[in-house]
Amino acid sequence: MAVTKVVEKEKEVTITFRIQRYMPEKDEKPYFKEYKIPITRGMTILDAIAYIQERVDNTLSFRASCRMGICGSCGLLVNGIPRLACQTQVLQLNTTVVELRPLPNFPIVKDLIVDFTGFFEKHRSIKPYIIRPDVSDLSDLDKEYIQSPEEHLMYLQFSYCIKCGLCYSACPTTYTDELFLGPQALTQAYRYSADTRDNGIEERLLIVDNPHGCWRCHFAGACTMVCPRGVDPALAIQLLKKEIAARRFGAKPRRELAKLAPPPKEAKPRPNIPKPPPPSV
Amino acid sequence: MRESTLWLLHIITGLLLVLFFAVHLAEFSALVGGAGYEEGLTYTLLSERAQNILYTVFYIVFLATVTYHANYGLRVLLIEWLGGRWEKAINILLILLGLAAVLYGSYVTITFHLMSVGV
Ligand code: SF4
Ligand code: SF4
Ligand code: FES
Repeated sequence: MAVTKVVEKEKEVTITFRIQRYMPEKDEKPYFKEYKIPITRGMTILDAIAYIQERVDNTLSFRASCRMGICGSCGLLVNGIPRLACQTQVLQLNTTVVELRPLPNFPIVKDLIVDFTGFFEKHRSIKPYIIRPDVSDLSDLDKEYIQSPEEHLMYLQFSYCIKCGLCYSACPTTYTDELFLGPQALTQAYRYSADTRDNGIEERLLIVDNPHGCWRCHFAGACTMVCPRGVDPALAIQLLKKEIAARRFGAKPRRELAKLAPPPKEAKPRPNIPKPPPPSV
Repeated sequence: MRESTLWLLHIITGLLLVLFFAVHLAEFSALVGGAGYEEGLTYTLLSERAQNILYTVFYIVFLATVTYHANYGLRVLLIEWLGGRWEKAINILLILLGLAAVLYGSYVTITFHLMSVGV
């Protein structure tokens, strides 16, 4: 019996997109414009706005790059909740009207594009890099740092941050206190400080222990709710507070700095494990 | 001053307040040998207690503790409400208000003590 392959055409649904538009040179204030477009299963918000830009209104501006949740450039306020446009499927929202606005807590550049300058400055201010007592360690490329899997787990979750700014746009404290460092920068202050390769914790604690630092967070957890990478900034901020409080109560948290060592060349691999390809650089 | 110092003081004063408030209630309570809440509040009894200098000192410390705790809480609310750029102004305002409250309260308490011992 012949097997007939039936390829069904995907059902299309018409969804209305209410998109906030704003051109600072031209418009006095932002306004909404509606677009009705056909959506099929699997289409993301990013696909939808790209569709609108290509076929309906080429003046619509938005920012995106990787379209796979890695670059952190496509954050939008989707029906009132900060989300990555490329990681949100339209039909998953279960509604026929989708409202798109630029992320709050950021100045608007145009339409859906916001200015991340202040956000990145705050990130930079907490020294988001490994600090070694001996700087030459960093250029010693033949050696590697010895870190146990347990030590790795102390900061792993926080290192998944892609700097998409969703947490920053959801945070009520950032909304009211423009000088607040924000969940992203505070989390990175913890992420680097909890890394055993790093020796900068005291420096960073002094940076975040100010009237607009970690003590302003009241642990509402909005940041954690919206983070697309499962980073849990609210947890990191409480851990920062704990580190500071422990020191203020006189506890001397002791931690050994990860040592540099040559990679274990002599180690014998288990049998049946294929050889890695030769190094390409 | 580092923010954590202010924050720690907030927590410490919070704990102290629980203790002070308990002492404050116990002073009148018939359960621990006081005169009860109605009789205990007569002028004569109050002035009798005010003769004790410890009593006067206790209430001044109590007042200072409440003032610090309340003002730190207010400061947090105001910084959030008005925005971080107002922080300096808020600090100055609250320090002045706090000092006024403690000074005026101490003046009243000390005067009452002096009146009670008959100076
Ligand atoms: S913590 Fe999460 S929400 Fe915040 S910037 Fe990083 S990835 Fe985005
Ligand atoms: S938990 Fe803290 S940082 Fe996160 S949203 Fe709430 S106030 Fe902001
Ligand atoms: S486009 Fe890169 S995260 Fe969405």
